[in-house]
Amino acid sequence: MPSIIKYIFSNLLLLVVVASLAQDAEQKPDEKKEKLPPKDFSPTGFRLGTDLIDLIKTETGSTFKGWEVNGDVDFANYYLAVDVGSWAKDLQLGNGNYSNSGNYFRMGVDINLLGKDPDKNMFFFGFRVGHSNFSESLNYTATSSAYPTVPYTVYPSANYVLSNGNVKGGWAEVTTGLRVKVWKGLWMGYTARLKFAPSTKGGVAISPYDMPGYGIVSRAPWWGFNYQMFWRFAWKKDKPVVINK
Amino acid sequence: MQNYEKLKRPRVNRYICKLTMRITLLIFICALFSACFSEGDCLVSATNYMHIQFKKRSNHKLDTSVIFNYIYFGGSDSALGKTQATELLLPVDINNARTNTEFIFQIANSDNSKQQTDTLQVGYTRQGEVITKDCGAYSFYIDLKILKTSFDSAQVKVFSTSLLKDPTGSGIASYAINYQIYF
Repeated sequence: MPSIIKYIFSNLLLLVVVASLAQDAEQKPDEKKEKLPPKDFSPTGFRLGTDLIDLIKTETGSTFKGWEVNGDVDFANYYLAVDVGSWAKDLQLGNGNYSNSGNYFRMGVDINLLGKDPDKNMFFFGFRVGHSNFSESLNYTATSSAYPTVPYTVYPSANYVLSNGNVKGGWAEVTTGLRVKVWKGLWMGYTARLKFAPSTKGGVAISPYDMPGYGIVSRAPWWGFNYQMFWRFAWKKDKPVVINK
Repeated sequence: MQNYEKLKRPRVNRYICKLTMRITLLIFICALFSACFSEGDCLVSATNYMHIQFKKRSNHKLDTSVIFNYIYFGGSDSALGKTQATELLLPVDINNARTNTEFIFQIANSDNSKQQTDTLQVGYTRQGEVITKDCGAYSFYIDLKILKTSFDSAQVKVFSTSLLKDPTGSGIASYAINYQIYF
């Protein structure tokens, strides 16, 4: 199943890139060969938002508590993006329970493929690196299976209460998504994340299981999805794109 | 102004873009949910059994059958009675206060006219690991080392320093070999 998803995802990426290139190619014959004005890389504002899925999960469920704040600043069609968040999970296991709590941030760049959109609507691809700082605890009952050559258990079952106090971890991710201007400064959109290369440091008693911001450490790649609402604070009006006939 | 409007609303481009975005969104949501619901198989490679093979001192490739009058497992009231084997699985103590287990072997010759007692004490680090939510958590024994033994150093060869088993296999062969002892 993961290989099929990977296959679909790679083909989709290819399709999107080819489609965007084809659009450019379609436009070229109509455009006159005139020198375009240089790109203005000075930022025109910043967006600040939050992930609605985290808030809904926190309010409706009992196993997850978390929030995430997202922000980005434009530099022409490049965006510097920063996400800061926190999550805590409390999971009932088949033979015990697991809980964790921690903070994380992600930082990276998005490239808007709708560079000429006058409203600055975005269909983007991006890259992020993430860092997480968390603690986790695990308690469970272990049993020694019966000794293969005798019909009784050698050691009685044991209860373990284990904790990792300060675990640090990191990962990388590629992102894609949409940001659409809904009304005045209100923006909505989604970000889908393909997270990979997780690493942790500091987990001794427990092999780190769930890293805030990433998810289950033993699974790579791992998916993430945010449905976000933003407010854009603009200090500069964007220049309309002008074409001379 | 007219040109600007023209660029702002190029219908064909907008249609392709919207279509691509919708397909992207749909596929990402499908992929996301399929990943969320895939908990994976409950394959557990954790074990508290140590795999020891007995080989001939003269040729380390050849098995040798060893007769034990008993094997005492430290930290337990249990002992394994008279056994003859070319390899054994020995359980380490799962008590969370213990980080070592001592085994006492009474080895005999074929007519039991000659007996010899040997000891092997192994130390280890125990690490808890959640396999999946439904499978639960298991203890992995790593950094296995000999703390004390009556066997001479040339008589024992170390293989894997972790206690592991192949969850898809069966029998003693599915356990990782930890030590070979030469007689």
